[in-house]
Amino acid sequence: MSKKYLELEPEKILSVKDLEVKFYTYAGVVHAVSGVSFDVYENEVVALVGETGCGKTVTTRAITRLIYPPGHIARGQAIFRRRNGTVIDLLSISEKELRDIRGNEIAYIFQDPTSALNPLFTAGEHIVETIVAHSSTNRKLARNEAIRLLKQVLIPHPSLRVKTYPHELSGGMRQRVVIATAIANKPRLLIADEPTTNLDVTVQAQILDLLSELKKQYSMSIILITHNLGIVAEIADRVYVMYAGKIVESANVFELFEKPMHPYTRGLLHALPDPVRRIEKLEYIPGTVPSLINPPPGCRFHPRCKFAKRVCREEPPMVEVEPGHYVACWLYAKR
Amino acid sequence: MAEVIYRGFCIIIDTIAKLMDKIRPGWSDRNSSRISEWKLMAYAYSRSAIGIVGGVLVSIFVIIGIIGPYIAFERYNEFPASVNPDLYFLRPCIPPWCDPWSENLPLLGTDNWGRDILSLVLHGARISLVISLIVVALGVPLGIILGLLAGYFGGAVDEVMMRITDVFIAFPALILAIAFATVLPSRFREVLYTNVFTREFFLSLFALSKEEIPQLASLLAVIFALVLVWWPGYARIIRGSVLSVKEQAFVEAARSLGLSTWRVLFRHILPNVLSPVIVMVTFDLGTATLLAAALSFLGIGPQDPVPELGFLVSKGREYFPDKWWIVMFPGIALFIIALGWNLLGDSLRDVLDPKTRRSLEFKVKGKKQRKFKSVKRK
Amino acid sequence: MGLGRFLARRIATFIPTIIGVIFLTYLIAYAIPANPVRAWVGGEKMVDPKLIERIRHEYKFDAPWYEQFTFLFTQLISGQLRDPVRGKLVIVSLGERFPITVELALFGMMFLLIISIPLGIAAALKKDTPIDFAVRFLALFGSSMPSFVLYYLLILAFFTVLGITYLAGIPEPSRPCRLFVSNLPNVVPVVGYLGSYIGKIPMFGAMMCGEWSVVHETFKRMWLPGLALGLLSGGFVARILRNSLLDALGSEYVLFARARGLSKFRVWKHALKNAMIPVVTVLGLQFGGFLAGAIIAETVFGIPGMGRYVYDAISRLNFPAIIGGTFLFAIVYVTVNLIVDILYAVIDPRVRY
Repeated sequence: MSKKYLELEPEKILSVKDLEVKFYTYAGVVHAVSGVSFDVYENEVVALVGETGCGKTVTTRAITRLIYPPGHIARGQAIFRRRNGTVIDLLSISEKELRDIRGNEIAYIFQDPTSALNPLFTAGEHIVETIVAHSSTNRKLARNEAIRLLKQVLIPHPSLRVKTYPHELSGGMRQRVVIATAIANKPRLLIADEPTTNLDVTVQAQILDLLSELKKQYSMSIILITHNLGIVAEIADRVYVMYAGKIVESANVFELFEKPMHPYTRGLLHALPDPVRRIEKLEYIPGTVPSLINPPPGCRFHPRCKFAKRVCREEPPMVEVEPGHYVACWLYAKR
Repeated sequence: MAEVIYRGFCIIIDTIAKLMDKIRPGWSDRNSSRISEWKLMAYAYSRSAIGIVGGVLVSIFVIIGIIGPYIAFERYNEFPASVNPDLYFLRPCIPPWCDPWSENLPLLGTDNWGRDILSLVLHGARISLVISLIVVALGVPLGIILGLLAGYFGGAVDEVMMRITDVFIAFPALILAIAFATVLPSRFREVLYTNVFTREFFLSLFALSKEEIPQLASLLAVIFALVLVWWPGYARIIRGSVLSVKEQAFVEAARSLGLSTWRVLFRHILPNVLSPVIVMVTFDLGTATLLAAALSFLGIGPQDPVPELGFLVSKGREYFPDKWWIVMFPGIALFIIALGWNLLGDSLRDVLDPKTRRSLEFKVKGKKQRKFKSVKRK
Repeated sequence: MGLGRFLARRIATFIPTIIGVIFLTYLIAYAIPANPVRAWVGGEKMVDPKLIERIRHEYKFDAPWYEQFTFLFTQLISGQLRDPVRGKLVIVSLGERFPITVELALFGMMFLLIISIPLGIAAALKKDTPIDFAVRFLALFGSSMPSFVLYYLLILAFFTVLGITYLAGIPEPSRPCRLFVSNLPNVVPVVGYLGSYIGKIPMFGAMMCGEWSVVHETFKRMWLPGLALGLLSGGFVARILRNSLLDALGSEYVLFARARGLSKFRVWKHALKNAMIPVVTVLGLQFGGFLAGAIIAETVFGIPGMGRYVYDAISRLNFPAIIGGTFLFAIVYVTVNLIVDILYAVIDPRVRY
């Protein structure tokens, strides 16, 4: 354990500070996540929004150090309150302690259930081994628990399904199995990485309902990664908008949809078709996501931004424009 | 070094592009992406040490294969020991330990007839080269065509062809080749005795003299046996890729445009299933050389006095281990030939893999962007 | 789930393959040779015309092709094919020698596993280091080296120069021991049959009777051919293990296993189980390859196995022996492939569909 005295406000469960993740690739150093800070409160759904490749997934994986070479966590803290009340920094504790937390207090749902489940292990084995790894129950009891969990995630015939292999299940069923493994140890924090992207639209809604149901039942906090603003509007409490490895804006969900501040957030919201109005022409953000090997200096959005000024080549400060609404843009900074 | 090789390839590619422009004006404009792709491949190849070593070994082998019988200073069917018994089983004399010029000794020793091993190996390289080239040139297209037909037409055609393929694959390659190579020579002998043109053609191809017609028949039997063993692997792989390619939209589009079956097959499907074949062929040129040598080693191929490398090794067995050089030097020659093809194949697998090229492109971009622009700019 | 159905389907394709194998054997025996009768009596040498006449009749060369085919079919299936040179049944000669070839292949497998598994794992863990490069080189070396040249190199090194091995021949258990083994089915009902088959392999037979000196002798002679076989394909198998292990270790399910806080051991279990699938297939094929490659190894090392028998048959142009040997090799090879497929289905539920 780190010697430093760690502090965490009582209502928070996780506080990530100044996280920086780099990938050393053939092509050069990719600055995937640069100085990201965010908080997760007890019992809330936090959405992390942004385009593909903006570092959302890497950020959440770095929380429990699931970053392997060529990736490297260069800097930062992830302060977490454990079930027993101790406050720790996930980025500096031992590997053993971390293993104790993963899948137990912090659980993940991966984007693609097909590749997250090992094809050679049955649905039941995935759940059983997760339970056995974190408690002293025997496999038999864990198996009964697995059946109960499968039932809870609304899988029909759970006692038969524990014995099936992933390839025998449909995409939606597989994601339910992944969710069942994730909640197997009643985690305090659930990290759901685009849980519905690879599923049919009809199944998407079911999975989202299931997640909010489980959240209530277990009183978990959820970090939801998505690029789908519809999902955000539906279940998130607060939103962090990420662009090219940095957080550009954060606010509660109503505030954000009502008054988006950052030009990027505005662009994102305008790129969304409004079902009520007749669509003349869908707006889009000109240009492409910058390379994270040589990111543009200062505000990373400035090459695509129509309000860009010279000052944007310098790092913008995070400004609190309204209570709880932060934005990193020179437009709102008082100089 | 790498830079020189890369430049050389670029010059060749540019020349090809210019030639194509002469034939069909505007070719290089239409194919500029293909040209830059080729240059990327050349770049990837020039940075692969394995590939360069393989390329050098293969080039040396091919050159020796072409000119070997002419630079061989003794004919394989002259037996110096019958004139001068001193030449019988001379020890090899390799430079650091022994000076072949002043001692007047053969570099790699002599065999039981006083023939110089080096000149036998030079001739043997030709035979190995011809065998491997013919086996691959006949066996691979045969497999590709059968695989294409089976995959494209499906149904009964597919079923029958795949069962036949199964039967061929059911035999271990070496055993099936042995069986064919033992029964085929008599057929070929008939052909060679009656058909003068074929006989002369193959005799000159292997650089053999007229007395060796029965041996030539055995050589052809080995080749033919290997062709029969070779096609099923390709048929299977091509069929598999055709099955996945034919469902893709561009094939559907070509068919709905009313193109003939043959055109769809050869212009649209074939180019999309060929890329793994190039790498396989490179490896197989080595494997075919070794398998042919193994057959000769077992006494199925040509007999005395034809200097087939595998047969030379098997002849040396009687005098092994005392006269180890008769076994070792032809054996090492075989090893180097196969190593060359395998090294080349190993690097080509990386070079032809689009993933490698993308990551290279990423790396090179910015630094050397000018280089990959097509010839047009000049 | 569908393992039974998978087996049924796989065995259903096995039978037409065997019929095809016999048909191809028929073509080689009757249709392709310019003068099959001469071939059967021993090449194109001058032979007594009476003998030719007898052979022509005995082996149905005067009959139409379908009779020839059914003749060969029944002969091969019932094992009645007779070697005209020695007058012995081909199946009997092959049956005596087959266990020895299996013994050789088992030694090859042992060395193959010793070489390839640790090297493959090391190369995957130490990717792009000298170890990885060495494995790549060993793979290239093994696939480029003509097997017979490697055998002679090893003989030169270990027999001629170092003198630490023996060559030629195969130690057999004593006569009472062999009787004991062949009598096993009468002693123990079901296991006895299995035991008597396994006991036909000389080393295992000797083990069953506790004749350890024979086992010791066997090791002294067989380690070098085994090592040679292992060296030839060890690098190749290690390379496949390395690649599949790297794929598995970089996969989402391994990351998910880590994300669930599983122990290191469990995470490795996830990775290795998947990585072993291609390796098991390749190992099975290598075993079949060793049996076929025995023809060269046995010739060089002087081991009186099935390959050596076929080699002798070739040099004497003893045709029925070649045909019988070819057929038996094909059957063994197909059976090994069948077993590999079944094993594959047992490990990987996806192929059972």
